[in-house]
Amino acid sequence: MIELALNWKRNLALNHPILLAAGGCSIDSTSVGAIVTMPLTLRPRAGAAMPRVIEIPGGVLMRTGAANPGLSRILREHRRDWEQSKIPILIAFASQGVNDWAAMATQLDNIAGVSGIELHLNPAMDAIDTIRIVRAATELPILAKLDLDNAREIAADCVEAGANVLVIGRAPRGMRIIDGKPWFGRLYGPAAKPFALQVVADIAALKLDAPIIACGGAHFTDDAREFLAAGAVAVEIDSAEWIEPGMAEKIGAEMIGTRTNADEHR
Amino acid sequence: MKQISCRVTDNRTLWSDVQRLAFNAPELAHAIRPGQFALARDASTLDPYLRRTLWLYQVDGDHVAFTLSARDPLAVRARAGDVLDLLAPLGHAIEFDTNARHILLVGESTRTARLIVVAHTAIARGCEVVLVAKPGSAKDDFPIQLLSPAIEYRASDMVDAELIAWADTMVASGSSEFYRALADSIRAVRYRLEPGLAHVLVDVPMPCGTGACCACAVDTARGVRWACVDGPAFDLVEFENRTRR
Repeated sequence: MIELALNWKRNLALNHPILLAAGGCSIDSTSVGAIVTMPLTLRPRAGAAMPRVIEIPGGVLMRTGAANPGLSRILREHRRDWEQSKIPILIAFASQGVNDWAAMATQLDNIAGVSGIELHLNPAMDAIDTIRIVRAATELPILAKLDLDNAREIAADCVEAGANVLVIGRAPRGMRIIDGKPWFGRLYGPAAKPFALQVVADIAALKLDAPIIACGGAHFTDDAREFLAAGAVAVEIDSAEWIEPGMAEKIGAEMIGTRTNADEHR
Repeated sequence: MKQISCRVTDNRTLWSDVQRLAFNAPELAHAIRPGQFALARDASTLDPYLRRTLWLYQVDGDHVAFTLSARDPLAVRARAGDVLDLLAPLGHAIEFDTNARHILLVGESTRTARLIVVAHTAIARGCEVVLVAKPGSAKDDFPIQLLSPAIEYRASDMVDAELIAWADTMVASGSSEFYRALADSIRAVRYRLEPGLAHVLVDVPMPCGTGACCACAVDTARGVRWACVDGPAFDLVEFENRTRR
């Protein structure tokens, strides 16, 4: 087992180092370490204007605007499944106001089957205050998913503020010029991996008192092994699941027997 | 939804930017219904990265054909004999009122191709079918030879009031603006837009097919829905009020 919430009131134990990332997949999976939900907001969000998806060599730039049905509907539709899940369910919080995050954290605090929350922080947010406020609202383990742009600068403070786990990281941001205007999106695909890998290694070198979960561009077992070698204890699989449903489970099966950094946390 | 390896039997341009990609896929041919779609990729490469949306075009025995853009890398590269990896069937089939006998299909430019399977299915059920296509440009003129002679075809920018009054069921394929104009035309003729009367095929990117990636979110009267799971056909009543905002 891999214990992520070290010295915390509630355990967050994974039996496997491969996780399904937020937005990675919604198909039932039984042999991954944990499932992270799609990024949710307190209230429904309709999403970004078109275009939302622009392919580039090596991946795709996406801008969904955190489209989602809102926490209440998701709870109504999935709460029973979560209660029966043998795999930890982690609720992803899409970027929004901290008061909404605190309200969501409070609402989720005693939902059976919810094992933790993953905060999708962005550089425009005051990450430290935000984590403190959410920390005060819930005893659930907090996974702080950091933007690659400022992860190195804020990682230590995030742990100090109450994050139990660091997820490195959110998909890198990029830009295209569309009809003469800038268009911003986040990069998914194999091209994202080197960016995430470097930041994982840099933050692992800080030897903070929180495990690191890597996320970004892992498509093959060797990708996952690289992230573990760089210092992560587990790896989230995101867009690879769009391309090949079941990829996380396949990577997981191939990882069996691989000694990981998680061994040090057992 | 299943993941199936399917052998390409034919790959040809139908007209303009519309490519027809056909497969020998008995299980899929018997399972898929009008309104549903497939996501396809060449499993030997990550270029292009995302799976491609294939719109159902025709089912003939054990064979099933789809359309996609003729410029799409998958359409450009696929050869007869190649094996592609399909996730299908995806989405919801279009549910007609079983009593419907007068089917009006309304297409915009090359998106009209997505209505052909609906037209032929309705004819097979004994319905009367009229297809109205709004040409995008001269080269987009709909090739009428793709339709059964039993289908009445009209090329027009507008849908006649007489046809709107005649129809029991409508299915449209076009842009959001096209759907708003259709809703206005229906209200002008029938005074109200009744639920169940008109279905529209929403054209948004559908990278994952499971609703997980959130790229295909559609704001409907029933809240945020996923085109790949809850659609891509939506009731016009649910769809157009929200897109006006």
